[in-house]
This record gives sequence, structure tokens and C-alpha cells, in this order.
Amino acid sequence: MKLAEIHLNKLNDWLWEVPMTGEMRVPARIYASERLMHDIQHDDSLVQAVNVAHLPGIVKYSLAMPDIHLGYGFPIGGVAATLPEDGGVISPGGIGYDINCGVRLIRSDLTLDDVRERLRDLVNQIYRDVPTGVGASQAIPKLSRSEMEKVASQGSGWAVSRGFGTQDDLERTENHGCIDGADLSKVSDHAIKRGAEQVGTLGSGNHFLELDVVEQVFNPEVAEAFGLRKDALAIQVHCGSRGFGHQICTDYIRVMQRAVEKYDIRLPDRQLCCAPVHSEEGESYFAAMACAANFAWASRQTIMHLALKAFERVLARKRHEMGLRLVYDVCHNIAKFEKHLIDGREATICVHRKGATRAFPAGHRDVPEAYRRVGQPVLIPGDMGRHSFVLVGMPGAMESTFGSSCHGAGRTLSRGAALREVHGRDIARELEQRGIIVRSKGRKTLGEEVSEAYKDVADVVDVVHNAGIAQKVAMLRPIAVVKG
Amino acid sequence: MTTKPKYQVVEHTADVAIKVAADSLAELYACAGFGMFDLIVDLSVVKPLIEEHVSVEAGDYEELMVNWLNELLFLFETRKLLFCDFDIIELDKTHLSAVVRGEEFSPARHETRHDIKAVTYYGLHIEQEDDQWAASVVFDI
Repeated sequence: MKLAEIHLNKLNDWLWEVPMTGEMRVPARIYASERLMHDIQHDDSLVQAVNVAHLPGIVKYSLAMPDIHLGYGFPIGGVAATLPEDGGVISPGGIGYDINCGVRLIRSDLTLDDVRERLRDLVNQIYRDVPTGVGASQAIPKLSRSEMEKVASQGSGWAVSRGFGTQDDLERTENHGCIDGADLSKVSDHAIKRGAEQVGTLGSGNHFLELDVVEQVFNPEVAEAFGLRKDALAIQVHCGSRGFGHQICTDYIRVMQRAVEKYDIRLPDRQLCCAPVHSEEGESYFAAMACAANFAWASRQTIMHLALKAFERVLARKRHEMGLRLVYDVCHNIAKFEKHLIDGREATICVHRKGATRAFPAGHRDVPEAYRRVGQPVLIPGDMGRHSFVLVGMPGAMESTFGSSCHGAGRTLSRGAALREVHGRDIARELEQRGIIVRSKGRKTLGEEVSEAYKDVADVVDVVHNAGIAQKVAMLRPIAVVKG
Repeated sequence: MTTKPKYQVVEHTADVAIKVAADSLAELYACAGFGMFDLIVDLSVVKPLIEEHVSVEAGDYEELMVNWLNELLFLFETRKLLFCDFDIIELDKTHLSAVVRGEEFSPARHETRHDIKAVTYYGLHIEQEDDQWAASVVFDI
């Protein structure tokens, strides 16, 4: 189907539907305002949302969040759930190459005044201690195969066992930082080699470590539960499973190319290749994907430890004296087995989130005890230089989006167009003038990641807030960014 | 055969795509290899000092392209090797072997452009028209 052939119905101010046509198995639903929908139609991302509706065993809708933009196979911002007992499939492209790319947020009792004089030293120390950029490696010594086994099976727990965190960090991480069912024998030697030197590295592209100030609190009760106070300093880390996850996705896309022939699955895009969840190929992929998801959690936990060590060194105080502790860690590229209501009964479904965040409401058993009264923190980073948002999951997410929300701003300009836009401008200097210190390996990265290349995250967040999926809790303003 | 760097960058909202055109299928694969590494660093300053043999298998030409580029990416990530010269020695629908030349990545001399995560199948078609071969490849970055 081409973009021009897509018939779009507006259901309400925040929701649109593409009805079933041709071989679509379910309708596609897109959360967006009128203005965002105008931008969304600039590329083929709606076609991709329609393509996803062709997956065998998909239930209810092929969903897209308001930060939807063009990916490959799935759109970024896509959510799709399949019913394994009904031949439902798992698709590596529905998780993406950067398996368990995600965000973690660390709170503190510090204010900008407490660190102002040492801020530049602090950023430089973090930049030295957390490897960034293309091919970044060796934040910690290269891991042996037996250590990689532990990383893959224990996730964040591995990092904590190495002294890179506490039990409390695990409590405040989605899934306790570990997905069950990981099996390193389902992972190629290529992937293990790529990953062995990359635990604790940020990588490049849109990944970052950012220091922020809580600028505005929308919901004081929930913000208090999350430990976020106005004017306090916070840290965000955004990264994933690096070469380990990239290679696992690459390997299994190859496996799935054969699987679609074997199971006679017809798809409009080869990148959507998949296999039934209950098949040798589907089960092997899930076991390998879990290894990468756990690797990413171990990595973000390690990066947090390196960053907090930098704080301790530069400010000469212990982390607990500064009130530095994890608020939450969410993944936004993942497939998970979750229980949801399908046709009036509870069923275990395979939820694919490709650039989407879990957003479970108050009372849900998978929300950490500390937050169960208010709901799960939903972390939505903005682009470099603009605000980020902390939201809380709402009951509407369980009713309409398989407990999912948006994950970020979403690009609107291609990288090339962004570079043309910033031609002749010194982005690092512009950010410094606005009070944001920047450290980056690649000059081009800064140009490509300029604010103008992204939708305004505030517009994106307003949609999920108004649609009852997740509610605004606080807004963060960046004061320093470390990038690849 | 010596690689002629014939490729152009195509716009893609989140990722980067290249379009390659060549007089032969072998040259098409060589150009795609060049294009990919030119996205990672500026290849004009990379010298052909080290030689490696690369061999990949696949089910068809498109899969062969994905597997070939992914194998080169693996060599870059695990051994920090940048390649600027690609000799395709053997090529049929299911197999490609090549001698590739380049040098070790040096952050001081090679400014990086893009961190390529993987090579995708999205929109990948290898087409022949008269004596010209063409392909578009989308990279996940």
C-alpha cells in the first residue's frame, strides 16, 4: 500500500484509524494531534504501521505512538501484540537492532548552585569515564565468555554483583533488569565478540548521558513518590545493547528469512520477517533477544555507576550524601510476554515495543512496590537542548495500548536535512550560550541531533497525557550533555 | 577490479540510506562496501595497508548484500578495521568472496561520521537495467 492510498479516519482529537483493507488482519491506530499528523504524513511511517497489521496472530490494532517516524519494517513508535496460542508471531524487526535501547533516570538532592563551580569538571570526568562514540569500548576490562554468560542471564544483577549498584537499583528497574529465558547458546560467536568490550559504553547517534534540572512539577504527589523535587539535579542515561544486540538482530533476521518460507507467512515488507512464537525459530530468537536485553540493562547499570563515581570524585562526597539514586529504568525496544485483556478475557500476549515505553498504571503487580500506589514512571527524553518529561502510567494504557506510551520526541528531519539546516552554525556554542555544556566525539553528530530535527517532545507528551495513556509528572531542563 | 566510489546518500528520516549504481554486479557489491565505510569515516584519508579475505553465503542477491555488508561491519567493530578497497573475487547468487584492503581505525586521523548498527532489508532491491546494476541500502544508525 502507498501513502496516497491510505484512508485515515479521525476518531477523536488524539486518535486516528486506518480501517482494515486488503490482507490487513487488524486496523492500524495512530495517536496524534492534528498538527503531529500533518508531520507524520511527510514520510512512509503510516505505510509501515499498516504493514505491521499484516503480522499473523496480531490482536486488536497495529498501534503507533505520537512520536511515530519512519523506521524499517516497523515504524519507530510502533506497538504490536500477537497471541501465541493463535499462531502469533515474534518479529525481530519489531524490536529493532538496538535491543533494549532504553532510558534510566537518577535523582539527587543537589541543586545547580551546589555544583555550578565544578560543573565543567564534572562533565569532563563523566566524558573521560564513560566511553562514547563510534566503536566505543572498554569501559571495564574485556569480558570472558563465562562473564558474558552471566551478563546475558543476570542483566543488571550481574552489574550489582560486581559492585556497580545496589539491590534497590534492581527494584527500580523494569523487570528488575532481567528477562527470564535468556540462553547464550542461541547467540552467535560474532555477537559475543562484538559485545565483549562494550558493556558500560554509550555508543553514538542519539544516545547520550545528560545532566538535568527539574524545572517544573505538574503532579507534586507523584513527583514526591518518584523523588523528584523542583530545582534538583537529575541524570539521564539513554543507550542500548550496542554491537551485541545489533548482531543478534542481524543473525535472526537471517533466520527469519527462511522461517517465513517454512511457515508460509506472506508479508508486505521483508524486514518484517518473523516466526510463530511457539516455533524453534521463534523460541531461539526470544532466548537470544533476552540475552541482549539483559546485556543492555547490565550496561546502563554500569554506566550509572561510572557516572556516580565521577560525581563522588569531583564533588568529594559519597553518592548517598548527595541523594543520588535510581528513579527508574525503562526499555523502549523489546518484546515481552504480558497479560492483557483480549476480548474480555486475560491472555498472555507477545507485546512488541519498537520505540515505545511500557506505562503500567497504579496497582499493577509489575510496578515496583515503592511506586505501586501512583503508577510506573515513564521516561520521555527530549532532543538535545530541549526539555525531557517524566510521566506516570495511567489505566487508559491498559485499555487501549497494551500498557504502552511514547518514547521520545521522534525525528522529523533526516540527518542530511538537519546538517543542511545547521550549515555554518556552531551548535556546541549555541547550546553553551543557552547554558548547556556539550561534550561530543563527532562534530557531525551535534548537527544531526539539533533540536530542529525533532518534533517538539512537549507536543508528543501532550497527546499521551490527553489520551489518558500516561500523565505528566515533571519536566527536566538539560544543563550538560555527553554524546558519541 | 578497483572500486570506483559511485554511491549517493538518500534521505531517510531516522536512518541513512545509500544508492549505488555500477556496470557489473561485482562492482555493485564493491561500491556498496565503499559507500558504507564512507558513511563511517571519510575514506579519502584511509590507506589500503592491510588485506583481509571475506567470504559470505546467502539465499539470494539481496541477502548476499546484507550479509556482505554486515560481515564488513563486524570486522570494523571487533578489529577496528576500515576498508577502502574491495576486490570481488567470486560471486554468484549464493556466495561472495572478496579481498578487501584498508587500515586500522585511528581516532586521531579518522573523524567518525556515523555509528552504523546494522544493514537492513527495508526497500532493498537489486535491479538490472540494460548493463547497469543498482541497489538502495538502508542502514540502521
